[in-house]
Amino acid sequence: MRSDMRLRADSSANDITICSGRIRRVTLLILSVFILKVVTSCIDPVWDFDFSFNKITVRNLDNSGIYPTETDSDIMYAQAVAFTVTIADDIILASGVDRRSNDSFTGFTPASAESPEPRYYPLNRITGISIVTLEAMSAGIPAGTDVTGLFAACVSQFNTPGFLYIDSGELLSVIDRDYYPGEPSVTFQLFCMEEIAGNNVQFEINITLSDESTLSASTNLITLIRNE
Amino acid sequence: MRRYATIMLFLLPALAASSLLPAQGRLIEKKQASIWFGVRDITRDSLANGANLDFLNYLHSSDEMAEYQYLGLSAHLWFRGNWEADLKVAMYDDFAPTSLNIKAIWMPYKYLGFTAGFYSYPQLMNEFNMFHRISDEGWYGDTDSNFRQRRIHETGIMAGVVVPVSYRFIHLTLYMNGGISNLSRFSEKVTQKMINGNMKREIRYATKNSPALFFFPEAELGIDCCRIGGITLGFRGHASWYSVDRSVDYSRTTFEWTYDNPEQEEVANPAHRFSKFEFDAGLYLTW
Repeated sequence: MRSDMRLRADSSANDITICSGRIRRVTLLILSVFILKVVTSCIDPVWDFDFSFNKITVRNLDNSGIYPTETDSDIMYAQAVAFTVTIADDIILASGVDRRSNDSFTGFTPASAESPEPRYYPLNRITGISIVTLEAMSAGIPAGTDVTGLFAACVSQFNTPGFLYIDSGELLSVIDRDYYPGEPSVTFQLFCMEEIAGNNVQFEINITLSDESTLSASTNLITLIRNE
Repeated sequence: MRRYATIMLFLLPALAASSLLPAQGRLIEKKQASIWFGVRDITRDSLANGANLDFLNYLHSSDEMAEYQYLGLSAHLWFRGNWEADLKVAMYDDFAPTSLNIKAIWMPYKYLGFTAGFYSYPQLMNEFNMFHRISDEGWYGDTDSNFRQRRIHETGIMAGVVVPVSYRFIHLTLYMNGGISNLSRFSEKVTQKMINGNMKREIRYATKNSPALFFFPEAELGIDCCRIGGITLGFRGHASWYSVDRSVDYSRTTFEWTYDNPEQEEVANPAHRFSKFEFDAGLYLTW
């Protein structure tokens, strides 16, 4: 009776040993896979795309208040003539474009706490900006005059420069970048610094690109009103 | 090396003095610790708006009796050889010990002594941007819609006479202090935009030192209530009045449209009469 009990006790001890050995091996295997996954995930995430500037859009701004807002109205105060300009790649779809490179050395998808922000590299750089008035702004500024110097600018996309504007001469150095984070486009706002004497105003905005092409857009014909 | 020299400069006299102490008796003959609660009432000139922002028009002041309430702690030490020290620390509801009144007192006579010390306290400056909101027609006077508030410190050194009078359990001490104080310097910025216009401007202020003479009498009353062992418990009251004529001058830098080509001006403002009255009461222990 006593020997039976001892036999049963030995058998149970063997079962427990086999069982704990199996758990250890499985745990080790899961741990190895996890470590492998972590190691392969530790890469510099590359989420870069090439694109080309091929579209320009101009919209009116209502800058009568403290902050400018986009508007469909073609009526502006004579001292608050302002536009927002967007230059973009109209064709690119990020999901359909191959990444510039992918250094991951396994088939594992890199894990990350948050998706890396895509960076868009322009194939054609911005080389010049000019604004030409299509209406006479005053007796000294007839239609067809380059009035780029009469505009101040703001590029809120790059937090430039603070509360005040930047000179239109500095605008090019701000918007011409090696890459554009987030989206294949750049948006800037233009604010006329002159009080325009006429009752109407219209401008043509020309962006010169490094591939010798030019993107042009005209504003709507703006009717000007004055402070009473 | 300079650090060691500085330490030794203080350490050596201290060690030298400490070796003499046992032979000559205790250094501190009597001590007093107090806790009290007080109120501070501000009265200041508010001058009519001129061409320039005058920050002193915006020191916190109201028709109520007390603009500020504070909790205070103090210690008074009676040293051997007719020397005394008085240290008062007070704090607003943020419990930051920002009000200081520290005095060294020399009592060559029983009823007359001399004081020298340091005095500092904070106060608030509120909504100074109202100047621009009211004055600058055609503009959004300040595009910052937050409540504009700044804490400034008035700090000074002082000297004076002290007259202590004691009768049985009543102790009255009168201080007549005067000195020179300065308002802490600060920088502020106001951003503006033309109504129905594109023009923007940014005005930056940087204040200058504003030293001014002040008069600061104090009266302190202590009443011994009970004595347990060698410790005396008592009630205390303290009142003070602080008066100063001061102007705050500054340099003003104005940027228009862009941050290029700012215009800089030096602005001198008229002097304001400013006074504050304080009263506090509490308990003390003397041993």
